[in-house]
Amino acid sequence: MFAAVWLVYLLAALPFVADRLKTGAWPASALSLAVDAVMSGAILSVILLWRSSRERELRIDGLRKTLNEAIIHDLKNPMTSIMGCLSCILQDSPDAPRERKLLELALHSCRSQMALLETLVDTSRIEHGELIARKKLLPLRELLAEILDDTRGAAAHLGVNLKESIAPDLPDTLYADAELLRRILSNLIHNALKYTSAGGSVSLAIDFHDGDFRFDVKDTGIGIPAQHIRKLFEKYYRVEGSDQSTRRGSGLGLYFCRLAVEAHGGKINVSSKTDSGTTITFSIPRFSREEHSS
Amino acid sequence: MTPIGQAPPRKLLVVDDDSTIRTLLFTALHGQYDVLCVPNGTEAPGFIASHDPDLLLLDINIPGSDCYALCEGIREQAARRNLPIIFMTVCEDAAGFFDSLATGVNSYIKKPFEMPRLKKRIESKLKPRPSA
Repeated sequence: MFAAVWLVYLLAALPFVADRLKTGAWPASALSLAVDAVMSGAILSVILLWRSSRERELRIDGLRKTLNEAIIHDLKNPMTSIMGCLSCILQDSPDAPRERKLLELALHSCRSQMALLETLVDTSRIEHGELIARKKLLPLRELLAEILDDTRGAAAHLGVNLKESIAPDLPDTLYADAELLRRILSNLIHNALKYTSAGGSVSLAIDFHDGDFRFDVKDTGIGIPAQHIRKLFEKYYRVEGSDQSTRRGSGLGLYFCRLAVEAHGGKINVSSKTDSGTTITFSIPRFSREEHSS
Repeated sequence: MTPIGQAPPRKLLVVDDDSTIRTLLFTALHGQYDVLCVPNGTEAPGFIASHDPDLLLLDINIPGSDCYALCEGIREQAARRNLPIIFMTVCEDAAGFFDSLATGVNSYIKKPFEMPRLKKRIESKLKPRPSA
């Protein structure tokens, strides 16, 4: 395109050059044509440079995303072998308390690594603007069973009682993004487990009211001081506890939860009292507003 | 060999391109089940035809194999319309599982998984033996 514009100007300049050769002087319009040509060339150069730099950025971004996905894929497969082997030996050695303790420790570290990996995936989704709810009609109870299955191991290891309470009149289906809902609940339950001491409890309660599903994740943990509550769902915000070495986080989990709940047209809130525990509540409509009205 | 009077173990077919995962699943499950393993979706139909498994554990992300097409192919056979299929995946997109329901997948388990969970899932999906 750039070359074509210059060619047009060159062809337009030919009669003026011929005139110059004939009369020995440049006509006034030749100067205007030359200025036009230089200006157009400069503007085009800027546009083309910007476009090529933007294309390069997009290409690098795409490559980075592909690389991230490949790394995540290649980390999960070996982790399946490690966690599979550890859990298998653990299950088969009920009478060896020392070995069991060591295996449980190794398995717990694997789960922590996986949680970190999930956080990286969440961060990548947020940064690439991919936090869009791809909603489908989901079998709610089946999905909840999956999520609770995933968290029981961690709760047992920490000695925390994991309870569930599902309203008997809960509808069978929910219009939501299965993966986002799984990540929201998994994040909230793991967070609650992290801040609850052995002997305490974490409960998940779900009910349905006025067309909205309401999820409550309640723990009997250390609670959140009042000054932190307002900023809790902000990006990279972390509540530094008394035991920072074991309770540190990325500051992305709750931020991700807020964005994911909002992507469903819902709301998320927290109520907490120091040393009395925390309840995080979120609600999402069974159907999106626009679908409900149609 | 199965002792006289005792039912033979149920047959599981594992389809996964990762040899470590195949070895893990074979080692962990073969005492309880008769476990067969194949590394890709191309060999699976032949194994299914010749061994008639009771359940299929299928990794959906096998390079070069269209596992959705494999599921559809299985469901098109009248005798295997109800063969339980558990789909194993490292994908973050669980919605893919709900899409795969249309091709006849019964359940899914995300990698990495722990063995008790997988065993529980297998037991819940295996059809009860016909009474004698």
